[in-house]
Amino acid sequence: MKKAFFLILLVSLIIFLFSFSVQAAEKVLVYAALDSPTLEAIISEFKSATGIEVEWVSGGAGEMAVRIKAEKDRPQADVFIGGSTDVHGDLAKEGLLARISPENAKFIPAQYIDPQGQYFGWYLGLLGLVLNTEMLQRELPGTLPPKTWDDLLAPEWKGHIVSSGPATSGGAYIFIATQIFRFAELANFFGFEGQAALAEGERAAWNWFRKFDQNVDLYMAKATEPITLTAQGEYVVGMSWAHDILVSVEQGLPVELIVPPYTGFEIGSVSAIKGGPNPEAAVKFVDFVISGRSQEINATVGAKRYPTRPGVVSPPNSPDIKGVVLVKYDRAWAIANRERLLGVWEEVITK
Amino acid sequence: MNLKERIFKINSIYLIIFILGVILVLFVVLPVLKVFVYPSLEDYGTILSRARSIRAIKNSLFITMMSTLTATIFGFLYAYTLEYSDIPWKRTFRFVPVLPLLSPPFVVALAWILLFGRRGLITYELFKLNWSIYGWKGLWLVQSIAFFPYSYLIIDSVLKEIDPALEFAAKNAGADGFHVFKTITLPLALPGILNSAILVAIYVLADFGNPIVIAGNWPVLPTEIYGRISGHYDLTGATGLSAVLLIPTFLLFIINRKILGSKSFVTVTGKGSGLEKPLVGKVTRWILFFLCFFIVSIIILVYGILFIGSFTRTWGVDWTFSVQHWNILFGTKISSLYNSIRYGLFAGGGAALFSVLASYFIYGKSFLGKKILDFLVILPAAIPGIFLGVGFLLAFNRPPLLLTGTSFIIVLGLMVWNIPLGYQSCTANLTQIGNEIEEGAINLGANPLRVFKDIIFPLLHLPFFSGFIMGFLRSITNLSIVIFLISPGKSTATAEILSLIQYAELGPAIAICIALFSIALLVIFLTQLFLGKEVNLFSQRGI
Repeated sequence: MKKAFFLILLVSLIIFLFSFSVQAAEKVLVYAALDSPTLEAIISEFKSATGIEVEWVSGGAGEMAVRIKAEKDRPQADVFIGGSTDVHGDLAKEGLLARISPENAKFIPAQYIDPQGQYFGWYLGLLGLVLNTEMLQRELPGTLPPKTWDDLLAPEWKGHIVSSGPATSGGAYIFIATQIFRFAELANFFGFEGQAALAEGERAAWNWFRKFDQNVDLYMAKATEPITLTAQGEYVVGMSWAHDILVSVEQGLPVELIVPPYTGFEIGSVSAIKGGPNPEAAVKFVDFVISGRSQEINATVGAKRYPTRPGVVSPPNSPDIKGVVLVKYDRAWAIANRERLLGVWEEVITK
Repeated sequence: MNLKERIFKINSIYLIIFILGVILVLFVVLPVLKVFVYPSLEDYGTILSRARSIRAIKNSLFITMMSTLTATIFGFLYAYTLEYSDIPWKRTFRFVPVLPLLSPPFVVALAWILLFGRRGLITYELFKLNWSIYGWKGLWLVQSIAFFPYSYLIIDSVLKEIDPALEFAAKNAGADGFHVFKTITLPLALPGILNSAILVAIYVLADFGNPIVIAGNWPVLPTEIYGRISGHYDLTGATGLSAVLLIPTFLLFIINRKILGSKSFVTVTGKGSGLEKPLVGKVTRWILFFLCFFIVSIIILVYGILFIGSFTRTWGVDWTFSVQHWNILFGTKISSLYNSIRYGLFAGGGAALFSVLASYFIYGKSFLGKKILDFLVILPAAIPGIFLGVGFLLAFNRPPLLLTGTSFIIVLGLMVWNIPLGYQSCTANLTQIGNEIEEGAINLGANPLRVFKDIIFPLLHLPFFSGFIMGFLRSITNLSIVIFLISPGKSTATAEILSLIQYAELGPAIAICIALFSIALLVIFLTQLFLGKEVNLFSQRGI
């Protein structure tokens, strides 16, 4: 009995030491911040097109970025896919991304690509509202669906709105910046320019948030959670990403997507990590991701996002991008003022 | 024996102690230091000057106090009911509290919302209440139920060991039920109650899966650490706040060690009086029964709805039967599940083996530095999972200790985390094994390895097994450590759950949760079947 014990232990120890897998085929290691249907479809086409194996870890963009930072002395992965230019820009600033020139970059408008070739914008995500039409009938009969951001300030919405908190959600921060830029544009009409317009915009935006906060019942940790709760009927309207809201719409849930004018957006990016184990395969993968075919997959599979490359199909069931009014989003200003604005949000918001 | 043999004997003991010590320093001390020194002093200043960080610290301390209090009260009343009354359905009541112990994070909180949310099936549809589960009050309720099982199991094992003879003696001397309780039972159980309270507090402090879903904008330290990573991609802020989280956890840990120690503190003799416990009166019996029934119902509802949810098309909305989520699980997600099981087995086994070795060679021997090593073995119990995970990532990302990207680092992290539990069991058992047996073997000429192999290890086979199995169960449901150690191709089921929830793919997440759950239940069932009464998995007397 005792001998058997030790034998089993010894054998297990040996097996366990050999749990390092050894592989020879060409492959690329990916950190992914995308929903699995989209990700798996893109990966599968890449594999058939190039024969290169893909292994990935999936999670939130922030988590992936932090891993890349922690691994800077010896990067574990080759590519970081998904996550907005804010996240990739932050990594680029710390010198963690490789400078590459993939072929397909020339088809993408320059404003979506890092001038130094460290990250490439391949999709747009819009901020929008998810409205539970059944709950609207039940809880607020006679009330019309909100069409603009200001509609949400009406007193009848009190307690029926769910949103997300910028301390934990990048999308929620973009939402704050969006309101500031929206009011800044309005300020332009009244003769304010540049910094003055931004200052006016900020003042007006915080006023807006104070009133919005009166109507919001809950700020959740992640941007997608308001969709879950709204679809479930906990709330009538939630603020989140349009492409994620569409997933619920297509599942046949009693919700619809509303994209108010002057909405915010993120530029979804992909980049090659500097010093990764498979640099050549990395460039091939990035090149595929920003290609028309991949952007088409992104627009038609899973959470459907708008392409950055002209000529690629837009997500079906989604508002025509030409009809959507985007705010003039000053990325640099948003990044520079982030810490300060988050502090102000803490003071302004009561819930 | 001659000089050469003596030197060999002493040297091999010290060699083993040295090896154990090196392992502890490398894999416990080093990661902790790495996390502490990642932010600069200036960074610490920035982190602590943020109003939100201060709020998170205050809230964490507050909710820990509240949830620990109620969880301990529930745990005590529950254990008391099971030991001191003859309510019906005892076997169910003993089993159900085990369920919360086996839960991966997040998913359970979602079930709570579906049932008890603003428009929850129970709170709104059934009872027409307009009650909000969100915020600290809902968190308090959810944590009380989630963590009371730890309290119940510890207090239960303590109550079991109180010799009924004392209580009967008091009764015979004329004391009524309440007086016996107040003067005999409660004081004897008190150290165990305090011990369990401290353990629960440590768990509540580090709880992340519940507040992230339920607490809304009410920050606590674990959610704030996560927020730094997820919303700000700020490794500096995350490590700094983890270091802050370590302080109260560590203090609780020290209090537990100093005041209560790891000795048995219950009653007099090991020889029982053979008496059954005195039972409570009829009225008390029914009150206690309804309390337990209430708690058990909530747990069954929560886990039941999860089970059902894994077979419905869309969580909470479309109840049509569907196996699509299970198809996804057996498709691309199955390798993660396989990894979880594999890593759990090795981590549990490794932890159990290490604890047995450490209990004999460290606890059981005297040498210079013994106290330090003894402390280091238990130290991982004071370290929040996320801290350990980040520490491992930072410490082992470059030569000569290049472990990141391998399965090994995941197993190692989980193993280190599970060592304290096994160590406590083994040392408790070791003190009961007399020295005579060991000395007899030595007198007959056995060298230390032989003594260990033939005497100690077999005598400790029960704590070894319970340590192995507990280690396995805790490892397969862990998220906080593995989340930073997974790499492409080497993911775990819990990491998959997080990722799926991230993109609102709740169906598959719940299916994975139920799968993990079922595996855990199966393991427990098999353990009870084959090792029966001997191995009581949950009678841990502390951390």
